[in-house]
Amino acid sequence: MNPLLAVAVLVCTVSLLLMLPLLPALVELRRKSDALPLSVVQQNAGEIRHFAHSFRDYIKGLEPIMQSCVAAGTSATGTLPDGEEYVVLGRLDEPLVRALAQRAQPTRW
Amino acid sequence: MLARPRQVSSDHEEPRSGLRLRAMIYVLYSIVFVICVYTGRHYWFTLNRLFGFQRHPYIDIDTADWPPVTVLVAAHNEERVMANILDALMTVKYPADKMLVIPVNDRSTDRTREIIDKFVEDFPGHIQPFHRVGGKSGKAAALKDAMELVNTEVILIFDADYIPGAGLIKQLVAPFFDLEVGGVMGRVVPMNVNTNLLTRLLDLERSGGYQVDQQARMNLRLVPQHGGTVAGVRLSALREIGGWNENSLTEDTDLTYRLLLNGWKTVYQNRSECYEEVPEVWPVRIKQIMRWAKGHNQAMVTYGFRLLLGKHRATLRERIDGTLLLGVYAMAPITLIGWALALAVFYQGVAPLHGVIAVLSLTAYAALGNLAAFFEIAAAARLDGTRKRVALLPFLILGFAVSIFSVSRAAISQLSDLVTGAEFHWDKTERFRKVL
Repeated sequence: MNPLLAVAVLVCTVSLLLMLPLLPALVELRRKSDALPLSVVQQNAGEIRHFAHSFRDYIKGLEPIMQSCVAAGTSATGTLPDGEEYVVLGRLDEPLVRALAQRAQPTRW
Repeated sequence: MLARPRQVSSDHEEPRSGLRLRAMIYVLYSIVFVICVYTGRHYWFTLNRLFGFQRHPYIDIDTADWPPVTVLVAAHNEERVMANILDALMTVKYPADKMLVIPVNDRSTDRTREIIDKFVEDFPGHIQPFHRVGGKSGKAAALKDAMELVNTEVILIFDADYIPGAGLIKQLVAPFFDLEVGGVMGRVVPMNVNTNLLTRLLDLERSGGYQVDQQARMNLRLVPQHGGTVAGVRLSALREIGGWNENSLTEDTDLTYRLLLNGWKTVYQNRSECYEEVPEVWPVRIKQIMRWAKGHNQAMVTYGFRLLLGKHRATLRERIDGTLLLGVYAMAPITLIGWALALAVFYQGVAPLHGVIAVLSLTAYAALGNLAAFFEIAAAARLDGTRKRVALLPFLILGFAVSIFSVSRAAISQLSDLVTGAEFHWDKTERFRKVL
């Protein structure tokens, strides 16, 4: 093989090998698929009541249904505005509650 | 192509050149040893963050009789960012009658004063401006002068380019319920990540530095570093250690070590996060890191010996970690010297064993030293829940190359300043945010 060609092939091969780990980096640099700032909780950081408050707001629309279920001892099902399904149980001895309670028992292995 | 080992020409030259060579090899061994210590430290911190017990002792304090607090906002020509931080501070969730914001306007020549005065008008009683028109330059000097307005036990400090969230003030104040705590530091998160390669690399570096390095030091009861912003200090502790040191180039490092030497704890809170703006151009980044390096080296000279061997209340692990932390910026010139020595020793024609060890020393650093820092940053990216940004890791070599030469340049200039007696010139970090 021509010595010049051999050197050129060697240089190209080594350059390619060195460039290999940079390929994903170059792709990411160009596409910027993960270039947003880290999400910092600006409003409710460290506020342990935030979950309770926001859950209360979330189920606020169900309040009349919950009150009527508790008063009548019945249950109700439906869908929340965001598409989540719900079950309201008016009595603790509902079969569904019993089933859930049984499922919650610790399992022995 | 490698040179053949040089043949020794005469019997007279042999002892002298042999002695010189041996000295070079021993210096090289020492450098490699120190590099290995830092490498081990990187791995220890990273493994601790991935698998160890995590200490966040104060983060869940939510309900308390919150103490009065003064928030100092250091500002020198900050018209681009001043309104953002004051806006944010006026909406935080902290008892309004217990929080006073003092923007420390340090000799600004732009619209900073005008912006501050407008906020004072809009929020009477909540902001007390401190307009400084003369005196020594630098943040520490400005904060020192502003202390005449401070009369609360808890003081928080922000740089003007930061945007604190609503719950941050409570989070930073909470550790001060512990009477041993003299200083508190929160986590810095870059907000202008998307701008260019530099900002993306700085985002990764910050991630490694805070998510892994600082939190590991907190977990292991070592020396979390006070960063001088998104941070707090106890007034009585500050008074005990002699107040702000206006001669320090990095008042935060200086504060960390004076607190430590006086028996006060500095707490790092990884979940007390705050957005900041990172430099968007390399010259600004280089200036910033050079100032940090000079300040750190200054602290190393001032406190290093006393911390390691002096009589004070720091534990053994705090002494060792604190000393290593003081030396981080000195490692750049030391590493360069190590590289030069390794090559010199090799081309001096050392005995085969020494030659092998010299080359091994170089490769060991290249493999282990760098890899440890990369591992730390990759682990931080994982802990942060990010995914594809970790692909940029190979580019960090570029950031390290710039840092190693800039920090070495800073060290050389610091030495020449010592000889010539030149005074340090304070370089303010340029802002890039668009004026609202």
